[in-house]
Parts: sequence; structure tokens; C-alpha cells
Amino acid sequence: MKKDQKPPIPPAERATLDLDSGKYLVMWQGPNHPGITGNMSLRLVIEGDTVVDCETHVGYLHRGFEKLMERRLWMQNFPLVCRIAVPEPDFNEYCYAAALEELAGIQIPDKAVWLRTLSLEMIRLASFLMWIGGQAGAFGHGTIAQWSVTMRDYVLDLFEELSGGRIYHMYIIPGGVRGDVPPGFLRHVLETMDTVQQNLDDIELVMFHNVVYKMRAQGLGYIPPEWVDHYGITGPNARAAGIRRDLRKDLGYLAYPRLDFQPIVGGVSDAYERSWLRLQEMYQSIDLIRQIVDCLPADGPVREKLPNPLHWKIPAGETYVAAECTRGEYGFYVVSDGSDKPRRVAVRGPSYTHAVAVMERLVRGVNIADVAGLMVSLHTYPPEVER
Amino acid sequence: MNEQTNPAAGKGIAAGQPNQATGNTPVAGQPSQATGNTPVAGQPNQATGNTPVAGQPSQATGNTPAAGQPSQATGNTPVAGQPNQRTITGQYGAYDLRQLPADLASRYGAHSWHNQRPDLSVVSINPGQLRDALTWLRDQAGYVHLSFATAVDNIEHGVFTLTYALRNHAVNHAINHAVSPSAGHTTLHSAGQATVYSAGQAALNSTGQAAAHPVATGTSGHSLLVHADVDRSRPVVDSIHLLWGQAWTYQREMKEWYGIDFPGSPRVDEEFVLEGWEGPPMMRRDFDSLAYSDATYAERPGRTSHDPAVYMKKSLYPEPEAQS
Repeated sequence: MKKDQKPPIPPAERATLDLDSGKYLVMWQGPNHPGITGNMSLRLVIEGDTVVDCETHVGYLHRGFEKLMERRLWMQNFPLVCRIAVPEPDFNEYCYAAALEELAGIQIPDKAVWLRTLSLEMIRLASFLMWIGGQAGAFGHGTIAQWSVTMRDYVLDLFEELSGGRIYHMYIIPGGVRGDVPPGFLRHVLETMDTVQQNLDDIELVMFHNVVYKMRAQGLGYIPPEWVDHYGITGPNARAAGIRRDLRKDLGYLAYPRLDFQPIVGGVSDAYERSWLRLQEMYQSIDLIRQIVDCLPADGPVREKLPNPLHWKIPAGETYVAAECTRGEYGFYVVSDGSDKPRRVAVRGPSYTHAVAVMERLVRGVNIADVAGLMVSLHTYPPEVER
Repeated sequence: MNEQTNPAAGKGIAAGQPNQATGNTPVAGQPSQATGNTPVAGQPNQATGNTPVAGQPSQATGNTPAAGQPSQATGNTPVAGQPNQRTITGQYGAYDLRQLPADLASRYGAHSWHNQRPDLSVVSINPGQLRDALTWLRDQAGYVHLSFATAVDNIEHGVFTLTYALRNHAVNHAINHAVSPSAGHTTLHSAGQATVYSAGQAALNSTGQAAAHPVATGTSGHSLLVHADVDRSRPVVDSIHLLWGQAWTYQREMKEWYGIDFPGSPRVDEEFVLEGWEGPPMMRRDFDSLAYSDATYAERPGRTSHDPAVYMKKSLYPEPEAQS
């Protein structure tokens, strides 16, 4: 795309196509495809090498979490919720735990607030590290993926030290967190942050100043600012369009009001701008983790005493608790009827709109080779669409 | 990374200063470039009651408008129960959010207004007026963001309770901030000193008599859960796919999971998540997933399951052998 050229905006209406005319080719991308994030498929209609229509198909990873949760005790749902968004389970744990605490009227200790914030920021960094590998890989930079996945593993090592689990931590539980930090953990955190930051500097140099990456990513998947409210776009996809919305600031949950940071805002939300903005958010996460390590209270309780979890009845009520995950607004809508099992748990994942409605529109007119890069640049996780 | 060897150091970000991006894209801390409803610093705030409630210790942010927020405060005397005005400027001019419960009640017969949290309220609306109410909320009251839409099966009452979660980003809690440490308690999610509020005295209550300000300074936004009870035997609701671009996805999901129909919604009859599903809508409360699984799918050989309590009892306390 030329510098003074405005990125094209795909039409709102789907074109009426005569698939028997011989001009089009119907092609499935996914569900098992390196250019698809997770298990999802796109039914693409192609004219030449340009996509003219797209239908998303989800459901390959449907595990019925929301139905299963209605049959289980409040506490038994914890091993379930963390599996809804696989690369960043902690946001599920936080939202579900915070919703239960709000309904049950539990206040958590101050140290647990800080440890939760630490856990959320660490998983944000790990998830972004995994994403940047996919983003670079979609444009042919496989080396970046090897670097960043290594860095992610270093962060997962920290989680293993903190909680015992690498992928699913179940560290955030109602009433606080599962345990205090082990001895030497904070020093390991700071060392790992230094390593990751050095690697991010390398990634910036190699990836973001690469002419091939620039030429392919700039102007791809342009999201106009008017779409943000219309499609419910949140997170970096919205901030890259110049909309200054960050739930960490807007809701002020956990320890975020006590941390020094400002939402990072972009201008033209194309694939390059979004990836650039996420890179800055990775630096921001590293900075926030360092701040949290500085501010973490030395001692104090890390969790509140709970009633017997096997007979725990939550008072009737409903609430919606949201948090800013790497992709945007992540929320749990929890309804209790006063029994020992939830009446309804509904998960609001940002991919619900990014991967379906926005993706279907953005992909029209895109070259078939850029579909993968476009999809990764929206940072979608199909598991949270299907639950 | 050496800054001098960086070919695009102007766009770079100094190591260790991630919050101070100096480049042209993206810029940290840059004011919103949104053309929507986000309040901009310098916008006149016509607060009339920017005062703390009588009897409370005066807070620094209570009766003094913060710098950079020109406020035409007229009520300098602390008055008990004096409502704090929150005016938002929307697409069609200013709207005072204090009127929201009364307006919704008079225009659309809304009832059961309830403040779950200071930044979260719940209201119920007749399903026949749901689309009108949502349109009005979006265009006039600033609730421009649809977080999600879902349904709850209240089988005891014979209804599906539809829930639409809207969010108004423009409510700026920094404008009117008064804390009441005597009557308040710490919020559940943020135990910080800045987030002290008094329970039950939320920003928007049904009588408009808001008093203390419940949310942290600098936070913004208000969420509204709009409920509509739909008859379970004939679940048909107006589609809102023209209001929000992603709403059809939620409606497709509700059609598949609950059997609630949204006539006119795009692709609402197509399978969404459950491709090849032949059973009843699976999220209904009267659908027993275990019984369906037992009846539908064949047993795989080599798999047995035990009730843990029975199994442990047997292994710990084996039955004494029968005396012959």
C-alpha cells in the first residue's frame, strides 16, 4: 500500500454470487490449518486469488462448558473455566472468582489483590508472546515464532514455580489465591523479564522493520473507528483504531488503579498497527510486572477463609464481571438461584465478535495469501466462541 | 538494543520506558481520537451538586472540581442526598443519566431497576418494546457497546430471560467523585483506598437520589443488563441485528442453544456450534445431557466408571463373607 493511500473498507453487504458460473472457487481454510488460530474454519469463495466472500464455521472445539457448569458445584467449575481460553486461563479464573466473591460478599486480602494482578499480567505477556510468533509465522518469519515461544516457555516456567501448572494454573480461587510466592520467585520474575525484554528488542528489529512484513501487513484488515461501537470491538483492535478504551483503566479492578500506566492508542487499525501496538503492550506488561514486584506486600494473608466448598451455596443474584484480557473485554455473566450450583454462567469472549462478524467482513477483497495474517492480526481464540 | 543502530529509532520505544512511547504510532497517553461519545477534557460539566453528602468528612476531590475539568458547580453547600449529575454528550445532545431509570420506565415500561454494583445496573423490559428500548439506549443514552446477549432458562416461571449487556463508555467517574469512608466499605474487586463506596447508594438508583460515589477515581463507564422475559412456549423476539453488527451471532447461538427465534436475523436458522445436532436445544433446563448421552451414544467397551463413595466404601470396608 502506498503511503498516502487509504486502506480499502470492505462492503457491508455480502455479494450475490453465482457459484455455478465457473468464475469462483469455494475453498475451506481450516479447521486444521496453520493459518487458522485454533480450531475454526473459513469457507472462502475465491475469484482468482482474491476472496470475495467468507463464512466462518465454529464448533470444532465445543465442549459444552456452560451446560456442564450448571450441573456442577460452584467450586467444581474451577477446573472447567480455565479451559475456555487455553492460552490465557487466568482471566477465566479471575472473572469467575470475582463474580462468586461479589455474589457471596467475600472480600479478598490486599496481598491476594497484588498476586492476582501479577498472575494476570504474566499470562498477558505469555499470550502475546505466543501471538507474535503466529503473526510473524503467517507472513513467513518462522524464526520469530521460535524465539517468542521460547520466551513464553520462560514465563510458563514462572507459572510452574508459582502454581505448579504450566498451562492451567488454577491459581486464582474464590477468596484470594492458592498460595504465596515461593522463595526466590520474585527474583526469577525480574530476571525473566530482562530476558524477555531483550528478546522483544530483537523481535522489533527483525520483524517490524522488515520490508516484507511492512508491505504485507500495512493496509491489511483496516478497521475504521466507526466499527468499534457497531461491532463491539474491544482491546488492542479498538485501541489501534484510536479509541482509548482499556478496562484496566475504565473499571479499575484489582491493583490497576495503583499502578502507573496509560492505555496505548494507535491511529490506523491495520494489521501492522495492531501488531505494533501489541508489541508496545508487551513492553507495558513487563513494566507493570516490575511495578507489581516492587509493590507486592511482604507478608499478609493471601486468601480469605471460605465455607465448605462442597456445601457452598451462593445467595441468589446475578452479576457481570469483566476484565481486560489480551484481546479485549473478557467477562463472566453469572446467575445464581441460591443453590449450590450455578443457574447460568455465560462467557463473553472478545473473539465472539472479532473472529466471526468482523472477520467475515474484513476478509472480503483480501488476497488468499493474506487471510492467515489477517486472522492472526485480530488475535482470535475460537474456544471462547464455542465454550 | 542499541538506539543508534535502530533504523527507525523515531518509532522505537526506549527499553524500560514502555509507557512513554515517543513515536508517531501508537502514542501512549494520547487523548482519545474517538469521534464518538467519549468525554473530552475541557468539555463543560454542568454538575449542580458536586458536593459531598452532609456529615461526611470533606474529601479533596469531593467539593472541588479537579484541575482540567471545568465544572459549573452551583451547589457549594453540602446537602444530604443531593444528586450528582452526570451529563453525557451523545450523538443527539446532552443526556443526564440520572433520568435513565425514570425515562426507561415511562417510555418503555421498564421495571425492577436494581444496582448490582456502582458501575452495573439491571433493568427489566417488556420483550415487545425491547428493540425500541435498545435503540433508544444506544442512540440517546450513550449505551453504544453491546457486550453480549444471552438467555437464562427460568423454567419455574415458564420464561426465558434474555439478557443484553450494554456499556456506556462516556460516564466519567472522575468528574464527580466523593468518597464516604464512614458509610462505605471496600469494593470487592479492588481493595485500594481509592475505591471506597457505600453499598446501596450507587451512582444511578431508581429514585435518582444518588449520594455517594462508589467507584474509583479515573474509572469510567457504566454497564446495564437489560432483561426481557419471553414466554417459554412461544419464544419469538425482535432481532437487533441492524443495531449492532455482531448481534446476529448471539441470536444464532440463542436460536440453537435455547430455541429462541429471531425472525429476520441473518443465518439464524443455520447450525452454529452444534453441527449435526439432532436433539432438543441443549441449554434448556429440561434437557438432561447425561440421559441424552446414554440414550444416543453407544458404550465404548473397556470403560467402566465407579461411584467414588461406593467404591471407597467397598475397598475400605469389604463385606464380611457370608457364613455358610
